[in-house]
Amino acid sequence: MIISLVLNPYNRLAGIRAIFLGLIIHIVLTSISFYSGTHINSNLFFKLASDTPFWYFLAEMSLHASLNILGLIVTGYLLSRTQFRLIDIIGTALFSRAPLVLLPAARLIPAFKSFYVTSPVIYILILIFIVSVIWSITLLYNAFKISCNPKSKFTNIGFIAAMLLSEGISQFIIYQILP
Amino acid sequence: MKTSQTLFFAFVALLSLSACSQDYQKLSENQTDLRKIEIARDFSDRFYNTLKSGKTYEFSGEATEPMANLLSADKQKEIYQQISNQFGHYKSIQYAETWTSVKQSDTHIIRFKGEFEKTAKRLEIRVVINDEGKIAGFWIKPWLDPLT
Repeated sequence: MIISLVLNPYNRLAGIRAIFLGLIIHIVLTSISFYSGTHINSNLFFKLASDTPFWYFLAEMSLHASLNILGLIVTGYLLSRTQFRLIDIIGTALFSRAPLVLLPAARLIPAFKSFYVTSPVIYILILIFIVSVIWSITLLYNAFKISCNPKSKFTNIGFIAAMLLSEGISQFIIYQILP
Repeated sequence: MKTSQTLFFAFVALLSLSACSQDYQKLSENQTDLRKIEIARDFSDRFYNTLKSGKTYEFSGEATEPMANLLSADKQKEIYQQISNQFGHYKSIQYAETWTSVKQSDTHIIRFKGEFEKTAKRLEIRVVINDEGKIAGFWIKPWLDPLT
């Protein structure tokens, strides 16, 4: 029951409520990331650097989230035979970023903020990142399945392709276009 | 219950291991040497402002001899050209933190965040001050919170 709620809360959460909670999560995630100096602009890696102003964190995280959502919407249109509401996919996909708070929150602890690079602390941070990303992607996949209701045998491939494509585009924009 | 206890002890063990294995340690605010920080800040700021104005920096005893020899006039021009092409001209410098080597506690690694015109990202300007108060190392690189 609890595991099902943690991995798939979307039977109870959708529409305006999901968007509202998703936006709050996005703002909290961006703020904690800024204060702890943790760039999570990718599902594949992270960067520990208090090197940019708040607007930069907001821009890179919003861009990454938006492209993930856009990828799911396009895939949803391609694979779903029924109509779906944009408000549902946007809200649930934004909400699925909640587990990503784990890593920046851990870095608020002083021992995780400044350390020598060969310290075992880095392994704890990598472990936290892996757990949070797996949890977040599981939530995103469930958000996609419930909101778009795809009935194609290509659902999994479509989801993976959308994630990889949005990841590539967001990384290109963040590292080549943002100053 | 048993799993959570194991996880807790593994976590504590990793943190202890981390504390023991540090070759360098970050100094708290009251452990830092303000004189060394001022030497490092003054040198870095004058160095980059001189290069920005198109001249080259002349050392006058503030750095060790190998350091001064390494940063010849041609080398300075080459370094600044690379930096300004990629990140724009130097704007300002801000003190961030001081680290010290466990083995040589008189040597301080002083880290600054440098601001450049073309990028929103602060770069690390790192100055190593030896036990005689002289500049023994000077780098510029992308900022990362862990000491690399």
